[in-house]
Amino acid sequence: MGDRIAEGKVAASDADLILAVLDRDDREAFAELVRRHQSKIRTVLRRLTGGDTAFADDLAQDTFVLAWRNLKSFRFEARFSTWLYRIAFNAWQSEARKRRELLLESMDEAPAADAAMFVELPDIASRIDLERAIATLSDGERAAIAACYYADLTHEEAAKALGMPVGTVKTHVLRAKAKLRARLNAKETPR
Amino acid sequence: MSDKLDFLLRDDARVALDDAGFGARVMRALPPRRAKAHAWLKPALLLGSTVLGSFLAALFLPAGSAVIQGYIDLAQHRGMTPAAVAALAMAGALLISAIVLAADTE
Repeated sequence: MGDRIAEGKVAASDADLILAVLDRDDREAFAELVRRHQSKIRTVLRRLTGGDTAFADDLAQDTFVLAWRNLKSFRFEARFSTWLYRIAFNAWQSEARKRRELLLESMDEAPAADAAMFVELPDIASRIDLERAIATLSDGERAAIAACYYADLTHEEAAKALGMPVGTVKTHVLRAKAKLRARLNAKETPR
Repeated sequence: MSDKLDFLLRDDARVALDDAGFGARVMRALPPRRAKAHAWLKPALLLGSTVLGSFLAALFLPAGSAVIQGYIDLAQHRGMTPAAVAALAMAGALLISAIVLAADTE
């Protein structure tokens, strides 16, 4: 009987599960939503926090608790995952400001990548190298990469989630990718 | 080369993280379950206090006042006298206010 209920939850859509939470305070339904989305949310937050897994998981927990508290305000027009990302980005922005007093809009003053950096990427680049390279980006660039690649949002969705103009998101992505190429190439190219 | 970086990023994004107790941690952090057994208490208190208030108001109104007269008219089937209409309107308004307040507090 319990197994059948659990199977039903697994088969249910996000919208069905949300309605179950709203109508019946159904915690099993919410647990299934957490199971479905935890990996993506935690990955995005790990990239945003520069690989600080403990901090990222704290923020992910806050994200889901906030989602639970504010589920009534969820409009079924957008994907639930997009809504969750927005909460996660807000949680990260607010904590980042608190921790380091850094504003998302501030651009990294590191030298911009030049044409010489645009050489062929190595075929085998480890995830650890990529994670470290992402950690060196500015907050804005990291957020744009996390939104557009890890959260798989469009530029427009990313702009909404991050509270910045679409043009800024595009600029951040371009600059971030140039820097990532440079970092990964430097790692591979023997001196 | 842009494709390779895109591939690398998307490949990294696809890696699934094991739950490793995270879900249970979130569920423990949720606010406590609403006390469903007492969900009826607030609306009942509101409606009850409205009825009691109306009863006390009627009890202590000076004899012969329009509202009392209205209830007497209704009780004695004298038809819709102006006093009866006023008494009904007041009772209706109080009841509607109580229902709206009760619905709001749920």
